[in-house]
Amino acid sequence: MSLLGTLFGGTRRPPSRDDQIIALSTASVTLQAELGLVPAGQAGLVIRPIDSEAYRRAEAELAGLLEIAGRETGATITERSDAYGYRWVVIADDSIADLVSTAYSVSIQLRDAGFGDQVLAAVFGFADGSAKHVFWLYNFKRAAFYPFVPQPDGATRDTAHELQLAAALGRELRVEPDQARWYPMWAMPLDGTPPARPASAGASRSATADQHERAPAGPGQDTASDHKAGRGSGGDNAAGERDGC
Amino acid sequence: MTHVAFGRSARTLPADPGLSARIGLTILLLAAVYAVFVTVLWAAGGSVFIIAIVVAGLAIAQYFYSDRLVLAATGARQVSRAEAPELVDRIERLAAQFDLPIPKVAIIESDAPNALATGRDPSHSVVAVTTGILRRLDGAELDAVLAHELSHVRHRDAAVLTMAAVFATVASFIVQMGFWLGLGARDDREGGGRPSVIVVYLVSLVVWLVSFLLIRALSRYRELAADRGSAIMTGAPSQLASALVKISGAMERIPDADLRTVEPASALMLVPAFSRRSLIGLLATHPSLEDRLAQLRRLEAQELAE
Repeated sequence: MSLLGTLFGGTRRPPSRDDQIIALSTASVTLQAELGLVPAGQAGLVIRPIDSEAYRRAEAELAGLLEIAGRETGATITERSDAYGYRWVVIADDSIADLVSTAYSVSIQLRDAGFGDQVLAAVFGFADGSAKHVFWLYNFKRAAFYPFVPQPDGATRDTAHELQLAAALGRELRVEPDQARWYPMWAMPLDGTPPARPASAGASRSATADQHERAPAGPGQDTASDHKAGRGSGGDNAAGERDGC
Repeated sequence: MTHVAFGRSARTLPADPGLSARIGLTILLLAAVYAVFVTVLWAAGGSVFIIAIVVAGLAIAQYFYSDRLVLAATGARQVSRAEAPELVDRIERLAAQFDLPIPKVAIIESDAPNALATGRDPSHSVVAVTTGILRRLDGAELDAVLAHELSHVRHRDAAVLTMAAVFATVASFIVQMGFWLGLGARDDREGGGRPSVIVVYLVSLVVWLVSFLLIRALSRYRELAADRGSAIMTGAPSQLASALVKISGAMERIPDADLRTVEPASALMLVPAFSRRSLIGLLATHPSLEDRLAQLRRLEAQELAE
C-alpha cells in the first residue's frame, strides 16, 4: 500500500501470491542431501476465515474441492481447524515434489473458489532425526519462504539453526530477507508439532487455547519421518479435525 | 502462476473517501495553522525561536523513543510466548496478515480493559493489552481488538499524531512560559518590525487552542480508520463491535483511580482511559461508541453483500 494511502488511513488486504512456492520442490534435494532434512510427508495451508457470504459459500464447497484435488493428485487431504479458529488444509504425501505441487494447486483452487487473499501460509514439515522439527513456511503475502525451528519446549525457537537453513537455501528459494517477518506458526494441527502451549505457560490468557487443549506432548516426540495422511494422529492434533475426503 | 485470476471474494471493501478526505482536511488545516505560527516565531526571532526549536526537538525525541516511553509510562511488561502463548500467537498471525514486522507484545497489569499500539515505525512497534481485556474478551473479539491496534501500526498513527502535535507542544510551552514570565514583560531592545512578546503569546494561545481541537479531530478519524482496518483485515466487524460494547460497559463500572495508570497514553488506546462525559464531542480523542458501532454496522452490511 502506498505511503500516502497509509497516512490517510486506508486499509487493503495484501494480496496472496503463490508464484514462488514451487521452488521448494527442487530445493528439497539440497535440504535432504546437504542438511540431512527428511520431508515429514505433511504440508498445511493456513486460511484465515472471514465473515462474508463469499467466504461461507467457499467453505461449504471446500470438502468437495479437496476431494477432487485428492483424487487428482493421489494425496490424502484433510480439513482441520486450530485453536485460534484458522482453517487448515492438511496434505499428506510421501513425495515432497508431489506435496509441493499439490499445495500449489490447492492454493490456486482455494483462491479461485473464493478464499481469495485469506490464504496466509503454507507449512512444510521436515525431520532431521533429532527431537526437533524443522518447518519451511511459505508466506503468500510476501511470496517468500522462511524456516521455523521450534524448540521442543514449545516456547522458543532455534534462531541459529534457522539462520543456518536460510543461508543454505538462499540460492534456491526466495528466502524472506526481513527476519522480523519470519512469523512463527505455533499450535499447528500437524502431526509431531510442538505442544500448542508451552510447558511453563503463565496464567495470562488461555481461555481459547484451553478449549482445544490436547494432552501434553510426551517428552520424546515422535520423529515424523513417514507420517501418512491425517490417520493415526489421534490426540496429537488440535481439535476440529474434519475429514475432507 | 498468475496474480490476476482472483476468485470472487478478491474484492476488498471499497475505500472510505469521506474519511480520508476528513483526515486530509484536518492535516491541511493543521499545516496552515502551524505555518502561521512558525512565521510568527521566525519573525520574533532570538530566544523565542531557539526555545521553539528545543521544545520541538524534545517532542520529536519523545516520538523516537515512544515505544519505550509508553511501556514505561503504562507499566507494560514485554512478554514472550512462554508467558502468554495465545496473545503472542494471535498477534504474530495477524502481523503476517497485515504484512507487518512482528511487533513487541506487552501486558499491562490493570483491570481496565484496554489495548494500545505505539512505536515510531512498524519495525519498532509495541502492542500492549491490559490483563482486564484478556480476561473479558473471547478469542475472536481479541483478534478484532489486536487487528485494530495493528491498523494503528500500519497507519503509523503514533508518528502522525506526534508530528501533528509538535507545534502544538511548542505553542502550549510558550503559553505556559508566558505565565511564568508575566504578561507585562517589556521588550524595549527588540525594536523594528519584530512582533512583541505579547503578540507571540497571543498567537501561541490561539495556535494551541485551534491545534488542540484539530488534533483531537484527527485522533478520532484515525480511530475510525483503525476500526475500519480491523474490520477489513479480520473480516469480522461484528466481533470488534462486540468487543467495544463489552469494553465500554466495563469501563463505566471501573473507578477512574484505576485508569490513571494508563492515562498518559490515552490517544493511543483502544478506548479512552477517561470515560468521563466531559470528554465527549470536540475534546474527545476517540469517537463515540455509537459512531464506531454505526461504522462497523455499515461495514458488516457491505461485507455480507460482497
